[in-house]
Amino acid sequence: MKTMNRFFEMLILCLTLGAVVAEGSSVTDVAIRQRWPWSRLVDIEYVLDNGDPDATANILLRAYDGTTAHPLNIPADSLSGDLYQVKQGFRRIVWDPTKTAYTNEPLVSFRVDLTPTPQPLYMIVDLTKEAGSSNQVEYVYEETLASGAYGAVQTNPVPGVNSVIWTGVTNNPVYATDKLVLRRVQAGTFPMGSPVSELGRTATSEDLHTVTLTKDYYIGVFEVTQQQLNHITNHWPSSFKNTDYRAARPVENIKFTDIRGSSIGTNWPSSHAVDPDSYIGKLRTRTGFSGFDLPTEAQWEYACRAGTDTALYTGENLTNTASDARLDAVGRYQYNGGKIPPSWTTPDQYCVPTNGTALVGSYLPNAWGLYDMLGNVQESCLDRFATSLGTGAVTDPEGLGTSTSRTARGGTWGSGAGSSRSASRAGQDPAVSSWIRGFRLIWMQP
Amino acid sequence: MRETKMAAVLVALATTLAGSQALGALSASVLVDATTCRYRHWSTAYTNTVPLRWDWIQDATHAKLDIVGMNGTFTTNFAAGVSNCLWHAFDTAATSEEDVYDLTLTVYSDGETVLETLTARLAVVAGAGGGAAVNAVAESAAWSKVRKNVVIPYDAAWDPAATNALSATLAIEKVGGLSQTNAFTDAAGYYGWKLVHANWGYGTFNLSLTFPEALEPLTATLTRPIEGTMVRVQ
Repeated sequence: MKTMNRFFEMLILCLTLGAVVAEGSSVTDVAIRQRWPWSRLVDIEYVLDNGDPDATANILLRAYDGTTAHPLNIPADSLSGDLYQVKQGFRRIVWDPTKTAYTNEPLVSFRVDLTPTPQPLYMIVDLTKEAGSSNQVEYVYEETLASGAYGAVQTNPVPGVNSVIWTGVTNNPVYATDKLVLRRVQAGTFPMGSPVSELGRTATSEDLHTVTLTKDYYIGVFEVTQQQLNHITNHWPSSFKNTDYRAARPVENIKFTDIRGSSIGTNWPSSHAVDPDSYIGKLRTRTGFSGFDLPTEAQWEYACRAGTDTALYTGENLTNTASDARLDAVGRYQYNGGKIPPSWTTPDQYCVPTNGTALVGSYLPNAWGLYDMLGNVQESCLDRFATSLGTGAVTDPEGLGTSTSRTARGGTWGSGAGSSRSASRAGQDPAVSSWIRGFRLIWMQP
Repeated sequence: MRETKMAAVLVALATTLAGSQALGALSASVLVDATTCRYRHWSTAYTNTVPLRWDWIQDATHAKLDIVGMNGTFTTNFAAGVSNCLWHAFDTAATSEEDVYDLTLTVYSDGETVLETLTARLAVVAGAGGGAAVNAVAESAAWSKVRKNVVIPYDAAWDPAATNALSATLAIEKVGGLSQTNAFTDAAGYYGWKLVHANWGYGTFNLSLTFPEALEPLTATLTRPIEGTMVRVQ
């Protein structure tokens, strides 16, 4: 029986680890060498051939001690170098074995298996597992999605935007509670702000200007939920705390300084470091992914618009700034359940998700498969708030603000339709929490 | 005397093989390394069979190939007309015995005049066979001990400040004894430190690796203990 169990464990491992190989790419001449006697770092050198000098591939690394029967846990942040979007040629990955659990006994026969893969469309991080443990991270490729292996998929949900999105992500609550699902957003250029003609526009803070983002990133499909926060901090800070529903409701009542910390976590953009005891600090440690952070305001709006330039990410504009039927299907706001009876002062502990915050993923996603970008909770961003962002074209903007105030985006469960537009902006005191404000994560490839 | 890297000869061989197709056909793609000092790839043997190829120049009648490693040397003579040889750098598919070889092909005329010398350095490292020992144990005594000949890597790419380095210097100093400075004409490669049957003896050795423009040299202290069991008689 033990043998059978072991067999099935290995089978599951193999199936999970099965990666889609990047078409036309191959890895050869893999050489591993610890930098003895200079340091403990290990150089993993390889030759990548993509068949096209401009093509890129990601490199999936699996490590073993001896045979493949002894896989090693390699936390993502113990690896650096040529892992993501790698062009062909002689390449090097650097592994720091001191950032692993293998510091008690030497590894006698460390081996690696390098597989070139396309860029995953989604990544799924299991928050219940330690960094580097088997099945902690799952990469989902477009062709795997298309095969139906992950459930429902929708193509081109928004007219005029070519895309494939995973709608089946809403069918399994584990993706909103125990796991984090992030979707790749490709670098690009978009119109940030709103045109003068847009209904609900705030003229002083929504200057229309062209923004170019030069780096791909992954962004949370959902707002961070209360369970996802609890897995990392063991804390339930939110106001909408009905225990029957809280797990998949977005976390709110959390300060910017709780998310990134009140010390080094406030230094962005001069540093990406966060306080170790902040949510993101603990998340980075737990998952081994040091690229987790809040989005910049531009990254947030680019992801929210998902190829549209209208007030809503459905490709539509509002006709009413209070109650608008076009927003009803897109996100939780005051007029489709947001209002809490009988008062606005504090939610009853029995408040169900038909009022106040909705369970994440309850409304239509945008063209890139992101849910609740409009409504539900307002989402904290990295940038210091500046009223005007100007009209000049910018690249990878980091905000113009100089005060301590930070930006928050996306409208809330308590807002009217006019505040739940892609271009709506707000400032927030980073040291003050609110039951209308939560956040969404991004992950930047190193 | 013209000196040419044998690496270039290997490229020529690969290119020749890849190009031997029908007229007008597109050759198979071959990776060509045009960088001068950045990669250890050129100095690493990935299989135990290393194809060597050369062209004969005018008036050459014979040649001698010397392969000198820490653990052994080999010499092979060739008559004009033979322009390639397959060198078995190690016995099995993978090796745990590391070595660094200097390859020298000396081409002679009928009167034993040296017409040309081709040189290359090739390292046999265990990790090129797919597996390598990794020691991340902080207080590991094994980390700083050397007992036999060892291969020491150097690579300017380890230090961002040395990105443009084209050379490296490895200094070895025995505490209270010999010292040696090795100046490398490249910035990435392997050095074979011959300890066995050399004059280094036993003791403590301070190593220092320097790249131009690097902020700090890399340093290491190694100990070569006396072999055998010490018995104390009172």
